[in-house]
Amino acid sequence: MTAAPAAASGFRHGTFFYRDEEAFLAGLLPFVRDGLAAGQAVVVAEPRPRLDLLRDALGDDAADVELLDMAEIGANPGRIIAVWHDAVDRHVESGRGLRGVGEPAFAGRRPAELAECRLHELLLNEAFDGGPTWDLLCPYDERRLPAEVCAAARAGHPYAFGSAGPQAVADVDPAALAELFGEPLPTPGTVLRGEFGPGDVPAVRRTVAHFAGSCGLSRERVEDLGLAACELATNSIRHGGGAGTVAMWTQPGAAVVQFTDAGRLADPLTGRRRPTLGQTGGRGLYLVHQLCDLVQIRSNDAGTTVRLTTWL
Amino acid sequence: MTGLRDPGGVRARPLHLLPVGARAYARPVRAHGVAERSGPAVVAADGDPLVADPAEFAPAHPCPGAAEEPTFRVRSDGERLRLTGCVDTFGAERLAAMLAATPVEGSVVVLDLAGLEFADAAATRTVARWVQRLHAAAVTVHVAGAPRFFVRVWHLLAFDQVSPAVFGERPG
Repeated sequence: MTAAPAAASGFRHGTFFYRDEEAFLAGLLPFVRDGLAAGQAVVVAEPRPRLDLLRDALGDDAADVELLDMAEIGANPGRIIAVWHDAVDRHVESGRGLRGVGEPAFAGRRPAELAECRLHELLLNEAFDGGPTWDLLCPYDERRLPAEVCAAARAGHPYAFGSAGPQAVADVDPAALAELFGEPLPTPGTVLRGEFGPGDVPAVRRTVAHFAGSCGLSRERVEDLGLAACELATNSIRHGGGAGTVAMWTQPGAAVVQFTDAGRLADPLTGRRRPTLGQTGGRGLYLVHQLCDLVQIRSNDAGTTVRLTTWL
Repeated sequence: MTGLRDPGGVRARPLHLLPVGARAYARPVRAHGVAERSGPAVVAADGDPLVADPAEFAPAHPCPGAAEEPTFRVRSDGERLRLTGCVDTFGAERLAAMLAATPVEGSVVVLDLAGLEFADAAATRTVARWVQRLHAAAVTVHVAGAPRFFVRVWHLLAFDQVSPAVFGERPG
């Protein structure tokens, strides 16, 4: 792998497939070291075992690399874009330049998380295309991930990183994001469901908190879910036609709360970038992404659904 | 000093919940990793996709405390403001007006949140903007007794980076 050509511009978001640790290091070490040699900031977001592997292989160079635990910062994939926005703000806007490594779809993720990782990868293109120049290499463990996850990754990245550096591959289908974002989530079995309207937000908050408590969640997590419920019910009332529905259910290993309303969320990136103090909107969904284990948002002409999953 | 009360708090009303699907029923269960509790629960047992008790969410009592939905209140003695109760998006504008109308004496003021029961993102932002405005007027705000949820939202929304409140009691 070689350093990026000097003339390269724009956001280059590409896959890198590996089958074992040796291949992982063979692909990443040159990418990281070339960035450091060029004076660029290098930010690596990987699950802890991969971080340890990379840190050991980098030796003294590891001190110059910002290492982030993807299982922490990206536990909910809906939080990751804010992390990259922050890195771009710090390093690209200042003129230093940035190389990122991000493995959101690491082996061991649950199916619902992998589905959100796919959406996240498509949203990255939407978030950074047309903006400043920087490279983001996304490793995929081809041996341990389901084949359909790797296939979706190939289709969702406009570049592929290899020994010759980032190579443009087939264009990402411009309709793919809208299709995935508009696709209904899997239907649950039995749920408890209630409708709410103006004046019901406190009741929704307390009902969801009561449900969360009955699932055995800690006081802190109950509080977080209640707060998230307040934000989502408020969004439904203010932006979703003045009313909505809340449904709650349990499934093996998880408690789920889902909000549905008749509104359409026009910008699928809403809530994925940290809002400024002066900004009036977008704060509620951002907070929900930070508070919850997994947030799945889907929106189409029929309405908007936000599903919150808390792992038990 | 000014003692203000919010007369227009949100009226409490229960949320009507209905089971939808074929397998909603009441049954006491022992949850994995959770201490055994008596009575019905909504925690899945082995092989059960859902064990729910609709009666637990009966309209008359959707959850404890809902029947006396509190409003919020701001009271001040000039150097110490007490914000108590619950504030959400629909009360945030009123909170902003109340804070702005409350006189502040000296260069340091304490905002006492020990009685704050709930604040959403909009309410927390309202406090952050008030702190920022006072800071611009050379007034330092000490936030005392802040509940965990308030501190958590304050940091998650990065208000600590733009709104220089000092968390903790005023020294001395």
